[in-house]
Amino acid sequence: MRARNRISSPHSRGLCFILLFLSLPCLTASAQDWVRTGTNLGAARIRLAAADFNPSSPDPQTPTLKSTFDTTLYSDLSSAGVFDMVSKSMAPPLMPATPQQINLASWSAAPANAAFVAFGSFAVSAGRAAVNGYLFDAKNPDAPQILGKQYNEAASQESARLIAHRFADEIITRLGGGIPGIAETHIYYISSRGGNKEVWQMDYDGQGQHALTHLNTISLSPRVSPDNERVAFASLGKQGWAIRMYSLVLGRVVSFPSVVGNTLSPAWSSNGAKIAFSASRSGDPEIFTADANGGNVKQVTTFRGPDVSPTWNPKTNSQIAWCSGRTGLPQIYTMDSDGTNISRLTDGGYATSPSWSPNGQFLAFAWNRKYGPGAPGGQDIYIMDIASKRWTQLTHDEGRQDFPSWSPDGRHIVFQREKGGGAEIWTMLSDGTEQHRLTQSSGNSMPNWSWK
Amino acid sequence: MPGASFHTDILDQPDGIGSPFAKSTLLHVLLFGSLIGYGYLHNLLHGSEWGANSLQQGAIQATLVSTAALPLPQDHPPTDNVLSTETPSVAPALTEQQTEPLPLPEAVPIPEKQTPVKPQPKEQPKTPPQHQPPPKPQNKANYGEAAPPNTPRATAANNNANSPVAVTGGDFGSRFGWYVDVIKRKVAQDWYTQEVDPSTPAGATVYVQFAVGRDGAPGTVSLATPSSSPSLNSSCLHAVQRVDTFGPLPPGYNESSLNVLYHCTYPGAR
Repeated sequence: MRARNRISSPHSRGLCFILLFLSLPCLTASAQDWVRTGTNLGAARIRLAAADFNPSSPDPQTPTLKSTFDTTLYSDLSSAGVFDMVSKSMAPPLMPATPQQINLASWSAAPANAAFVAFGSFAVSAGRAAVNGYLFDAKNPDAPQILGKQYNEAASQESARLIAHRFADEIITRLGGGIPGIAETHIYYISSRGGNKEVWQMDYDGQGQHALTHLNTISLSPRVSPDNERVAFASLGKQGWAIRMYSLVLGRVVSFPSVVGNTLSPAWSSNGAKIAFSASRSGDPEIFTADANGGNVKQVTTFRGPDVSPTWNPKTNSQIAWCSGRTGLPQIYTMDSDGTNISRLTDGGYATSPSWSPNGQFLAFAWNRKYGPGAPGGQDIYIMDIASKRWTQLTHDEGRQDFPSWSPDGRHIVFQREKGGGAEIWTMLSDGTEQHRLTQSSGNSMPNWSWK
Repeated sequence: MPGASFHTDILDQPDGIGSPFAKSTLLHVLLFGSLIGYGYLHNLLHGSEWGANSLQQGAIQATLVSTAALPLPQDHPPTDNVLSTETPSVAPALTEQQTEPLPLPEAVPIPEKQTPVKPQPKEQPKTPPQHQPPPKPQNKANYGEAAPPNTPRATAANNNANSPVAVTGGDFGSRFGWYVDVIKRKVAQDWYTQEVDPSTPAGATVYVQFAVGRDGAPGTVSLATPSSSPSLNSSCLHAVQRVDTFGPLPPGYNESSLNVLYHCTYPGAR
């Protein structure tokens, strides 16, 4: 009763984020604890400090690998879209290695004002990199530890980055309330830097770029399977365009039955059981679905005009969004996976490349709203709330954007940007902020973010 | 005396007025008699045509009606219009057109002072008044550009982000305050204040309760203390229902679930 009076008092309402935790003996007949909390002004980003890890071994590899680790960890946490990171220049010049060495008061006080601190030690010994990482609540000195992790990998730059990715994902998942970290995700895309358009792969932050296929032809629209084992893509062969499969496990192209005519733009369902694509026998592409092994092919659209670029609703796998030219210029439509309940989403212009958000709520797509000679504006990335059909423009006047693809946490979008004659891969938060360029050599297009 | 004799002669002559007087009297009698005779004869010929009480009725019969229904003119005295007159004044005479005298041959014309021509401001085309058409009632979903949506990553500014967590009791809150922060933040991110009726007074508060399982998934949410605004109540319920998971309960917490009492306080229409 005392707590109720305090919360309903004007003083308590005036303070926006006062949390009251009470044991309520009258209500706790069971053993579970009761927590009382609330809001009235939205949610703030989490103020997080990432201390430089303590080099705890004299191995000559330690400084360089630790530097890679520190940089990668800070970058991962910064780009998560969850944290308000404490600048390195404002953090105390300390490198605590163990919980006994950290002075939480120095981190929680100005100018750092950190609510949480990530710290630990990095050591290289006998060719192995050993990392002890901690996450502490700087505002709760009585029970500060939230996370404690140990990692041991072969000492290399890749391992240092991998460990940092994993530790960052742990922090993001823990403080983000169960959201999946994306630090270990990859981006698949088409690059022509080798002379031909091949399927390439890179880490989510643009590191580790390398080619997967070497088919010496034109490949388009790579789409990785939800289990991260196969990449479906369209490739030009002797029989025209066909969907091909690259096994990430075997490291080579595996067989996939050629179905009907020219097949393009494959799309996986989130359970990995189905694949949708566009195929044409007589020059009018239609949407088809098939099992993941290429069997049980079904045609789901029969419209006059091209129907391409299908994408599944990953939340339900019962809906497909696609791009249709049935009314002239391409527009975005949704339908049930059997071809019924068709709904048009865009009201004009030139809309292409839909991508469904992981939570099923939004569609990202490329849209030139004033399409035509001399029309103002350009092709930008938009997202639309499917239920209300209300849209938001994410990019503005930065060349020509296309092929958006959602990250598995639904916080980021990777897309292609053409500016100054070259196409590059960029990422941004799903509100259009914090745009970062991932590729530097021109001729990179059609990115697809992995599912995990 | 010649003068006296003459005067005497005039006065001595006989008076000749008797005969003309008699003739004049006779003439007047005749005139008077002829007038009376004319009136008598005229009365005999036309006396029964005007005002006679004849028994024979005419074709028109007048019927007396009430004067109240007749649009008779008001009985006002005539207006003395001082501007009206029956003798209009004479129109002014036209002035004669006089011709300019020719200048003398040796005259040098004085140049006229050239006054700069002031540019006339261009007349702006009058725009018809813009009348705001009344909004049409919407019976379909709104379509158009929206504000940035409340995507899972979207966060709002908070000037009080570093305020310490107030712990007033309870073992979970003191040990795992960061997890309570997670609950607060995730529900707050999914609470769309646009769903709340703007007429809801600022400060209106609704309390909802739910349980969090070990895997972090919220259980069934229900109203604990509703507010006076149904839209506020439903918006807070929806906020909890939108959360898929809060993340697994902390490993150090050994109970099967965590009960949460969450309040949404409406900040007022913005």
